[in-house]
Amino acid sequence: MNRTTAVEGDAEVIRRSLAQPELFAQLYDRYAPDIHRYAARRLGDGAADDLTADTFLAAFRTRSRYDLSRGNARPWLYGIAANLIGKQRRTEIRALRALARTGTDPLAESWVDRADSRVDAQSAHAPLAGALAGLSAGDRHVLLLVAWADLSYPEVAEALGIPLGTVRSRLNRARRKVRSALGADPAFVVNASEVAQ
Amino acid sequence: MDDLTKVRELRAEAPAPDRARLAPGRMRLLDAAENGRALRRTVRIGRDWRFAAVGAVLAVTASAVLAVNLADHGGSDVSPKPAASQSVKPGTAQEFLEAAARAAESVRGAEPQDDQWYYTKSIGASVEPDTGELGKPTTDEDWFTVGPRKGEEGDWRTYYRLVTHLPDDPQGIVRAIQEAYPPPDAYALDSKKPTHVFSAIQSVTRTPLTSLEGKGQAKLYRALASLEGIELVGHRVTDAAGREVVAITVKPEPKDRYRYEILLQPDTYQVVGSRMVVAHDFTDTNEETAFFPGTWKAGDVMNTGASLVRTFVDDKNERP
Repeated sequence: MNRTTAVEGDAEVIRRSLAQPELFAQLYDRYAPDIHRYAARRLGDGAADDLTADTFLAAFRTRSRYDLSRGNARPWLYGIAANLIGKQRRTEIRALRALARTGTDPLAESWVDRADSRVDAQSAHAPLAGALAGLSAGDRHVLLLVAWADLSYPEVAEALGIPLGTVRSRLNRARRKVRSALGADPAFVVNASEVAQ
Repeated sequence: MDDLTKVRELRAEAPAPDRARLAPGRMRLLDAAENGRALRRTVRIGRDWRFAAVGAVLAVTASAVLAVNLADHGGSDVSPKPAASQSVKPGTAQEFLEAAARAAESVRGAEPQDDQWYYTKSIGASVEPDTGELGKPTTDEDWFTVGPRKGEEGDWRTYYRLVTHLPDDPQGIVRAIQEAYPPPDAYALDSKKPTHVFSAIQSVTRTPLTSLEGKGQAKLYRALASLEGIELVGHRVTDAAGREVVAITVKPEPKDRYRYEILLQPDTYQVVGSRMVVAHDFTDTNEETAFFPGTWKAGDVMNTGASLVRTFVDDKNERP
């Protein structure tokens, strides 16, 4: 996908969809694959189907309130998805704890062959999974929107409707806990290039 | 390896979904768009387009948690029921709608409190592009505030204010609906066109829950009866819940691909659902612009929705 071309047209698509609702499907075509994969990583492949559909339905219904000065709808959509994922946080935490406890990721069963050597690699993620399960919902959203959705810090702020400073503080707190779980020095300072986002 | 890299590696094997995997979600979105387009001509009610699209009520309530599930005709002795005239036969749309108006006027019911919630449960299905037939019906529930509540969207009070202050003439009714539910854009609604008036009225036509709104609903039914081209569908119709119903429609304009139906129960005159039906044969395979790409025959049902329960409850997420 030519992301630049797509991003340029998001606000225009939303504006036009107010009069021609079916045009909103263009946003689905652009971003549903990304939202689906993100949801699959957080809740599992099966849950991702409904969550993706629900995300776009919620976006469609609230599109009249979209800030048309924001040309890129991607953060908005991830914010809606994050909100819906947050409603299933017990499911998410349960799976992370299962991975932390057993070394086998229940979510990955649908896409990883059990005989595959990658199953063994899952056990290496056990401490990380335990750390993610222990994060607050807000901290986990910020960390995973940065790491899995590749959102910039301002985009995360936009997605979650929180100040940029809060994004930074939540991310730093989450990363400290992750580093601690991984055995690294939790006091390690985030490098300048990341802070400058 | 830094911590963010480790996080990025977790579940990194998750596959990107293919088009077939995403198709049902896209279809759900197009269903919403299709209904949104229909409503664009009329009103935008609340946050849930299906709420208006179904345009139906079948719960009649006298208390906070009393509901009647008409799917099994589970009427309650303490529910206020329209005093339908058993002598009226659905010979013409005008006769049937007059009977429905009289039934609505006879409704008696308790008024809800501001801190209560308006609970709706509906069922609906849309045509599947792969098979060309209606898909498996899905049910939806929703809770709307009765009175204003911070952080929540209300619907019932707006609707109630509307139907208790309706004028008698169809054009005035359309204006009142537009004032109560201003469209977010300037999609023209021509109150001289029967199809537009029908759509506007359909979006707020329900079986009344209270006596005051019953008077307003009676005006809506009589306004429908006055429309040129209003008619009963001349064959057996069942709603999305499988109930045999009477379908009322208005003759579509020549350019219209679809016509819309209001579904009422033949014995109680309760509004129980709606359908979108192909008006005349057409083929449109443009997947970018057609709501339902393909070849369709007059009479094909593209979307059907029915209300299962509507009532007031004391708390959000509470069911009757």
